[in-house]
Amino acid sequence: MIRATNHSSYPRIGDQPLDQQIRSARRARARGRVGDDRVEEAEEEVITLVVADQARAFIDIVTDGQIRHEGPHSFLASRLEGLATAGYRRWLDTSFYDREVVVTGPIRRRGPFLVRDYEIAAGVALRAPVKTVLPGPATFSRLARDEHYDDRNELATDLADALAKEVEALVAAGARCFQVDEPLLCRHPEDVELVTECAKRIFAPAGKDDVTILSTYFGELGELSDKDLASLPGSHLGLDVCGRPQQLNLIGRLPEGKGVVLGAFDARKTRQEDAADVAQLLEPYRAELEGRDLIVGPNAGLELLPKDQAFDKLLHARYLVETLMKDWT
Amino acid sequence: MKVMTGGWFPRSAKLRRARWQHAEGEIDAAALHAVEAEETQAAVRRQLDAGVDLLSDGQLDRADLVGSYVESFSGLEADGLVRCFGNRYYRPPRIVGKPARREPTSVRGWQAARAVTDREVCPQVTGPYTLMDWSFDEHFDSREDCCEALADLLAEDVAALVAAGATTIRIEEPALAERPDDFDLASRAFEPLLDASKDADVWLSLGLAVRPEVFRAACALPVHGIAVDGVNAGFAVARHLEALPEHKHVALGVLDVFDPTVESVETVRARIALVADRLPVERIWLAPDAGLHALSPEVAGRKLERLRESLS
Repeated sequence: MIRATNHSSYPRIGDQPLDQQIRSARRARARGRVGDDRVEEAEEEVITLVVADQARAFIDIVTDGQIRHEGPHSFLASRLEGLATAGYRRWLDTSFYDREVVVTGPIRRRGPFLVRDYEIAAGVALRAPVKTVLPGPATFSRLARDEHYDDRNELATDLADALAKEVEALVAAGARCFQVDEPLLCRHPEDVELVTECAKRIFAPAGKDDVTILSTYFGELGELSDKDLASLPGSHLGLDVCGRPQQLNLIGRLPEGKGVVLGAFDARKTRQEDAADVAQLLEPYRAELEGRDLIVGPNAGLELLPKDQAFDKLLHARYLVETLMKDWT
Repeated sequence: MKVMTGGWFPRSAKLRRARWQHAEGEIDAAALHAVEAEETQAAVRRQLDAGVDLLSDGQLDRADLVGSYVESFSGLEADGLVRCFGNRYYRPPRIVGKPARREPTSVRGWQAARAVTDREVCPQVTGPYTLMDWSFDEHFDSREDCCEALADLLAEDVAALVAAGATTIRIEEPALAERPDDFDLASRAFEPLLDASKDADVWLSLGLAVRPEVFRAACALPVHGIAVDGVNAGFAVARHLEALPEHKHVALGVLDVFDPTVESVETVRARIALVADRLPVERIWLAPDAGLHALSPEVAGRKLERLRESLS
């Protein structure tokens, strides 16, 4: 099977008035003119709009666009116990700034924090599965400032356990597709055991036929041994192949039956990749890929792009699926 | 210790509306420029009232740090909004052809500011590394080529400011703050701007979350001073101030530019105490962490007043 997916985030702002409602509502709240309820209402409406956008691009697996997230990691600070935020830091190799998360106590889940967004998205997506994207604990433990644990493994596994409870609640709500983002595994292959342990815990509540993606991006996994690659949990491994065609060589080293998510459309560039060019890039790996469940899409969250450009990236991902399905068995 | 400001100042509702009207074709460029000049002068007066020593023009004649260059450089095209943090958005330009300069970017705002005071006003120019890094490049084969081409054009902006009479110029390079691996690339691109500055004092502003190794590397550049954040980064650079050569200055952020709560005198004094004994006081300038644009004009003014009170 070949499918297209959005990676994670999607632009919450555009140039049309309807696309400006979160900015306007938050600005009005900051001035005391509206309450939290107006902001929540705007956010929920925008979730429906971004899911509709993905459906309009004929994307097979959509996301809620991470519309309510203040930042990729900082959103957890207001949703889990034991976390607070400090100053702004640049988010990986992007021009986005997220607040640094400070770990001030044991990380514990208070209650559901992604279920509502899943339900809104699922209500709009109808037949397309909605993928819920979760921050990877190993990456989190490298970027957060720890003032409590003094042990990175303990911090990461506590976060993994809190996220696993959320996955359990999502499964109960009907979710069948999950993704854990571990971009720093590319820079820190020595974290492979921690990544493996945490992702196992997070994916544990998911059903055996559910899609569980361990996503890596902004780097390569070439330094991992075959044994390490085989140990990575999840039904699919996400690889960033934008400007990194050598990553495709990893596919042949993956265990039989392991699905692959190829980030072939660069979420940090407005230049649009041509589906035919990407198909040509994949052609030498056709035999390997045809034996696996293949999902294609952007390499990272599309919130790094203007809305029209983000939409076009999804369209090109869809064109790639159609190109491959026409030519491949 | 003296006080300076820099970066983006708050946009009033009137200025935002004027920009929107101009984008919609409801008012012409002259009408927009008149509102920009009025707002720039109001910002200068607020700084004068607050006792700021080195004034900023507040960059109120431009939409944002990088997006505004679509007006002054050909080869750059406007695109949609992108979130940069929290509830803040900007318009990264797309570089679609070889850039060429149409008009000076910084002179008009600086001249508007100078019209209301005889005091020194520091104009601001976006650094080539930041303009390259925060744009979407669809034209050049490499980041180096892109940075070099932009540097030559931005150097012309610096030369235009010097020709107009500017004696202090601030180069904004916030994109470099956390990129030690790109320091050589950025510093090479910085050279044409330094050459164009002639005898003017150049401040290099590194923005938020400045990594100590970037600050230490910047100390070797032939600049008058370096501006870094303090509050946002927990004064991470404060322990490295001894790396600054004897004749150079530092501007340290002691005001939180994201929290609308106006700090108490005691809080500001406690922050100043963290750095006061690290260098001779005449080489330490106190400042907001970065541009004050996330605050209302009134809160920004009150914060600056509180900073001055803390020094008395």
